[in-house]
Amino acid sequence: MARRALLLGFYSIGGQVLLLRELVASLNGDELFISTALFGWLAAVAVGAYLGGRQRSGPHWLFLPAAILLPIMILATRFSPSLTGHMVGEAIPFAAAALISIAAMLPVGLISGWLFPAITRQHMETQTSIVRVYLVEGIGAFVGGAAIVYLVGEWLSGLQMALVISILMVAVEYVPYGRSGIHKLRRILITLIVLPSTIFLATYLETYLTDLQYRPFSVLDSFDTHYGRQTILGQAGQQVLLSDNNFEAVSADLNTAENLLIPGLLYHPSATRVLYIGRLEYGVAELAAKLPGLSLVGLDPRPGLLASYGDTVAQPAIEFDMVMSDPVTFFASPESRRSRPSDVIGFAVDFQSAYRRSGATGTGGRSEEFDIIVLNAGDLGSYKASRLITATFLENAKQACSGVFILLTRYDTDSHISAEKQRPLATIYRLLRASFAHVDVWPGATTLFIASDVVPVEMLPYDTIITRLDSLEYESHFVSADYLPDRLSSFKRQRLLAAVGGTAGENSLDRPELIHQHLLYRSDVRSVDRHLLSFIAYESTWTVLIAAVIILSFLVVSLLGKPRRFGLFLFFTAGAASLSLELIMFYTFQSLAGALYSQMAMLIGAFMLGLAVGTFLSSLIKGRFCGYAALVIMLILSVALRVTWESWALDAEYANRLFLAHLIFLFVVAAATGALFVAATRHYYGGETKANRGIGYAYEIAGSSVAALFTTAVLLPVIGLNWLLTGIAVLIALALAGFIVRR
Amino acid sequence: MNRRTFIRCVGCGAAAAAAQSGLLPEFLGGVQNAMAFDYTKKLSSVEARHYKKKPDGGIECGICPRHCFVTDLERGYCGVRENRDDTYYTLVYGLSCAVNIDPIEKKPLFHFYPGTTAFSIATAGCNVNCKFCQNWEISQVRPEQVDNLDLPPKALVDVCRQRKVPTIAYTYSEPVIFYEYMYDTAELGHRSGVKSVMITGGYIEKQPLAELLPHLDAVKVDLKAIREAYYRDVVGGELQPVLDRLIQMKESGVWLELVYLVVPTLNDTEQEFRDLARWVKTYLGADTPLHFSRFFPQYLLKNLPPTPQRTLETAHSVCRAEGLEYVYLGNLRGHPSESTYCPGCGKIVVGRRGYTIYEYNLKGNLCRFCEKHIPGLF
Repeated sequence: MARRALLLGFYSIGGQVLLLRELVASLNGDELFISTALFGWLAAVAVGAYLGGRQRSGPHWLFLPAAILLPIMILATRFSPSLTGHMVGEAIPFAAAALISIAAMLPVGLISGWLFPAITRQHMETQTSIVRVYLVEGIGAFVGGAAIVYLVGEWLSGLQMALVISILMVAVEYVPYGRSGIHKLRRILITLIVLPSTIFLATYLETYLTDLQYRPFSVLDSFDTHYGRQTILGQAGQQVLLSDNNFEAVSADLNTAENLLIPGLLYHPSATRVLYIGRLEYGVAELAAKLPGLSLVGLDPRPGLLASYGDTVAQPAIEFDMVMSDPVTFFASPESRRSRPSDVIGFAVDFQSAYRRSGATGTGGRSEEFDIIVLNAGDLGSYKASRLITATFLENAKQACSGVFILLTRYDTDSHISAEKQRPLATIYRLLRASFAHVDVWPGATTLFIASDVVPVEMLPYDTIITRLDSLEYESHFVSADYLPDRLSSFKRQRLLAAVGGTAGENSLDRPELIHQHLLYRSDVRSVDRHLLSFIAYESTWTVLIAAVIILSFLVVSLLGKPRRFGLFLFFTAGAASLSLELIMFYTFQSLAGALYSQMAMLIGAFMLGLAVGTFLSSLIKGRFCGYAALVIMLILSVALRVTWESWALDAEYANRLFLAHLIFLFVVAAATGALFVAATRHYYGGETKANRGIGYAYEIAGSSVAALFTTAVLLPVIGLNWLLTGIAVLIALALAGFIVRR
Repeated sequence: MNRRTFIRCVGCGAAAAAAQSGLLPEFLGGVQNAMAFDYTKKLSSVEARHYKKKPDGGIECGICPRHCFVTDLERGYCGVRENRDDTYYTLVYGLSCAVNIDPIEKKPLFHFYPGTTAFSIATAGCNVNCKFCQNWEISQVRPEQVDNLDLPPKALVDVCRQRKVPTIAYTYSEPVIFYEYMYDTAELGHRSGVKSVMITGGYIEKQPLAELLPHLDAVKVDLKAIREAYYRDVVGGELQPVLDRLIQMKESGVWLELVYLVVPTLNDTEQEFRDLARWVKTYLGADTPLHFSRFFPQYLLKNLPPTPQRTLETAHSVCRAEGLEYVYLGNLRGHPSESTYCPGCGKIVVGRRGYTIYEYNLKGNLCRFCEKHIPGLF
């Protein structure tokens, strides 16, 4: 039983993480989509567990379809855009992406959930078997999670990892088991031969499939990183960088590069040190090389891209540094800007001669101030991007900026500004105004925000801009006097100023509204999306009510009948509260301290470990004490977080302290969840031998699925962090009250 | 009472109570509002032209080749023409949602009074759904969803005269869907000395176009591809009616320029450029200006890269080799193909860089160097 439960944990985390990665990489998903996909997975597991609990068959026959399904679903997900009639380069609208994600998660999730009660049936005693499988499954998930984090992106692709999991499942379950040395040797030999050959063959298969996926482009490189999938396409002499199937940059995009670099120099002509938040390849470095006296530093956490940039010819004139760090981490404090030498890669001449700098040169070892900081905001539909446009981030960035801060958005404000576009633009403007004394805007195919504390940017006359443009030692092509009279005509500027001065939202840690505003803007591409997203964003009362009704329904259903039924609500609470708190902690950490994968992996690891430790320890303690303790701890933690998160934000510069606090918090929440699961199992299954062994687990996962759907993507921007934490505390308090009453 | 019965009872009871107390209608109203946005914005109720009442009720729109059959209180595909009691109305007459004064080169019209400006207007709606649409925020929505400016034909013409803008451009979205507004403005403009240019996809029926053309001074048509499959899959329309209308426009004598947006991997093969050049030369004449425009990631194709410069240059060289005399490349500032060259002597007659005219060597329509006639309105 333990072997199978371990395998289930491994399979379950593999299915969840690898499919979610694949979905995001193939459908370029935003925040809401990720929630939907996670909901799809958890809902499928819950249904699987419930249905599996009603059967009486063992798990043996389930492992083969499970092993086959995982790689198949990964491939199906990869080709889902073309299978659903979308062409290469086409963005998948939200509703379609959500449906695809749920469909993709369904088979593997269902079978994963089904396996749980099937494995518990190997043991006669209900309570013990459920707790044991839950515990060992948690350990399997911890091991699997760690393996995925360190292998995928570094050594293996997502598909290869899925194949490894499948082979292990088949080997462990179906290769004849025996205690003799010969049997063990046979199993090891078979695994050792099959595993590397499959990985090797999968490399070729994947290359072939990627070519097929992007035809008629030629695929120059495609690889997984810890942050997602990078694909570099070639066509007619240009290279295209796709991040998670999302167009990011093209070489050498002089138009974008000029929009990023030239305006800053027009407002601050004496600037020499420029920090660009993003990739320097694909045009920015080439342009900077043509601007004499300019020293350029790039800031981006993704490794591997530099080497893959290939043979695009750059103009060698100056050297550049790339700081491999998360922007939030980098700006959190002067100390964090003092980059470790190992984080800084210098490159020169043709981008292929990247080398590690010693701490004595470049940015290594020094705390930096920059004359110009440029932020290419990209798509604002995810927290990854929108967390860079908060008061905290801008305030921190300002500390490192001695001149001008440039923010480029992809909003086209050249010919008209729709109401949906006005809102995010106004929010960005308001946030910049709150941090900087002076802010100006440029309309155009890409909208520019220019902010400064020292340069009165909004008062710079148009003639001066043109004069300074002429005095540059580089003849600008797109930010030039041939286009600027139209782009900066008073009519267009006034229209944009009126728009940014209009109704604005906020984008704070408490209420990150920018993603909803951006998603609403994008939702105009499909009427279904528009209806759905405007309901979420505008009809906030109903959104909250729906979440509340779902939770209360679970409560009511659990209260009916015998007192033991209340155990189901405890299961539900364990899932809902723990995943909500986990998601909130990930959100606050990414917003305050950055999203470096190594730290995120440790946080996830701490949660899984906590779950296992909590389950194990509470299984040793008899009686109801564990349940009370778990609920009280969870309640205290939610209330403590509700009361203190604002001071955490103030402490953001103490990155290590913040990380430690998150680590401990997640560990304790998970341990309490494990203990609550044990308590719920005792409450519901105590003395019962014929009960559905999957129903408790199904309720727990159902709670998690509700949390996945509502917490960060829907409720956080609508009601804010304070009310969300209050809601979680109320849910836990309800569970505690019921636990006391329904003995 | 078992669990299922209880849930059923509670569900029915709650629904009944909500309906009684008005909560249910309010809830449904909330959903409806969310879906329909703000209905308080005023729309026009001017009777549309070119439609037929059907004997069994409903009307058939005749403005574009879609020929939408529209029942009572429904709208056509474009979303801006509505059947009310078997009378067809345009909802966007005099309601501009985008207004700008643009250089005429931005349209682009290179043989139409270079260096002048055009008062550009658009309403919401469109009769196709191009996956690369640059103006999807207004073309793919209903008029209720945008902020409309009350700008009836007379006011529009007056503004142009006051601001000394010589031309009105009907652009951004598809002007065919605000036909009546465009027609009346162009007619009034002609009487007042203001010119009119239509920037269109050319997806219009023969008769409405025939009536409109006398009031227009120039037309720029976005010929999106030369393959029917592309029109079906990427545009959501048909190619043949567009080709037929191009010939009709040319025959009418209105000044005509073509734009071909080169979308990477979708309509960018040499064979397509060659077929395009041959068709233009055969049916419209070698002196019809053809602009190749650079695609930028937009709307549904936001994950395709911009068109490589080399592809645009290939398009240019293929079309020149096929004998077209005026082939231009857009969005490549400083590229020689931005300028107009005299086919006689090969010298620059209109030198362009971006929207700037830096050299002008025409006397009327004649090349200053060799006196060859350059077609267009100069």
